[in-house]
Amino acid sequence: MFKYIKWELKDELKRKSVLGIVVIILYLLIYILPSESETVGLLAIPYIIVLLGSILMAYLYGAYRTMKSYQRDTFLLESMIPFNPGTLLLAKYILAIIFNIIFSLVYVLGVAVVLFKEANFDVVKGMFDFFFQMDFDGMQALLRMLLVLFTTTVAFTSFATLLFLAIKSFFPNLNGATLISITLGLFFFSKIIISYIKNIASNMDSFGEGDILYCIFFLAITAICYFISVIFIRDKLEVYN
Amino acid sequence: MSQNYLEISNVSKSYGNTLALKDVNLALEPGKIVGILGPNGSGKTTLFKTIMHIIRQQQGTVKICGEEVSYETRKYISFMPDKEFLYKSMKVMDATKYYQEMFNDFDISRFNELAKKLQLDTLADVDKLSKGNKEKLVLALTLSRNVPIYLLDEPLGNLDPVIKHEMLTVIKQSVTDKNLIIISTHLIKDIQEILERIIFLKNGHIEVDCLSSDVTNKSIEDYYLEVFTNV
Repeated sequence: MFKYIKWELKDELKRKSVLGIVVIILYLLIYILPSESETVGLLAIPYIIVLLGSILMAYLYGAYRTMKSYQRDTFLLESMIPFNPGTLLLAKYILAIIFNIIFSLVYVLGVAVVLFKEANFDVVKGMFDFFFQMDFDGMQALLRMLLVLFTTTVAFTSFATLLFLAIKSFFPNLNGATLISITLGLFFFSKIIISYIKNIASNMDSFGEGDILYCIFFLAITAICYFISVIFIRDKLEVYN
Repeated sequence: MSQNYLEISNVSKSYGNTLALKDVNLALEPGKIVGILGPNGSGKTTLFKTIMHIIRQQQGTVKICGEEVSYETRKYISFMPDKEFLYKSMKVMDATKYYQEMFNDFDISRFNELAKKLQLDTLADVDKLSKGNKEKLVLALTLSRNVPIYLLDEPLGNLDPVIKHEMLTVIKQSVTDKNLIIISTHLIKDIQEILERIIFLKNGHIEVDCLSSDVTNKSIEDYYLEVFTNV
């Protein structure tokens, strides 16, 4: 499984290396050039696109990539490997998580670049101090919130992939299965996320208390989707690429 | 393990209203090069993908080395698909390493020997190889696995005569009494000399199944034309 992950990562990073270099150059230019320069003004648009794109990708890309892996020509290559379908799907989930984290880092790095450039050093230091001086409960609540976000992306990936596999199993020739799965997945998950945010907003004093329940709920969705997906892959799925 | 490496019984498969395989029955034993011959759309690739468990038959059974076809039985087969399937970012060396890591049965010394015979540049990027060299690479990778069954789907498509000759020689030298090589093609003329058994697939149905030595009074190509043009 880890060998498969290694080769997939290697291929994807090689293919995306140009994009990565462009983003690094963009961030470097924004950091180095004086704020008043005209070039920085021009770079603002691609910078905002990268920032918005990366936060969107941090949520969607893992799911999109997992679905695409069944439609690429390299699927024929992985079809030759006598892997258990469950192991292979688990590897695809891990890859999805890795890529979601990479896009999150692109976002965080982008914000950090501007923060370090524009903000007074004391402000940045103050933010770090605030984080590390948080009481145990505060820090725990923050980490729990991050965990909820993380489990949401994993659950979304497994749910959208399950929809995709179900569509491809029953209607192998249907076009647009990826789009349908992502749209339906977003529809369901945005409802859950909105309810989560509402819950936070209405219970600011007990912030983070229901988070573990959300995490368990998302992990349960992931597990259920995983097992049903394996059944589809093992017994029903046909790929006509 | 049964004597037949591949047993296909009453297999049918359709895509919507299109019948791709119709009641196919086949039993193939080791030690032979078998040609599945037929025009485009006759069901050759569907048959291979059914054997590889990439698509599922709606009726009938497929047995590989005595086992019902499944993910498990892929270990018995080395498959050369009719389209590109390697990562485009790979170098030839990476492709070799991939096979070494993913398939326990991959024989690197066999690959080096074949690469030398086929004059492959192992430092080249896969994506930058010519069509002929890509075919050679994939053939060398496929035949370097020590498995009972080799499935070669259209291995000679649109290659120049020199490369075709080199590849046919390698295929011919690869058959032993412990393996079975199945080749699908519509390029009869090029391949007829190495085939021991020929199977004509017409509209998903086996029209002819005989030993090539049985076709004595005409060439296999003439026989093929006779069957497929209804002369």
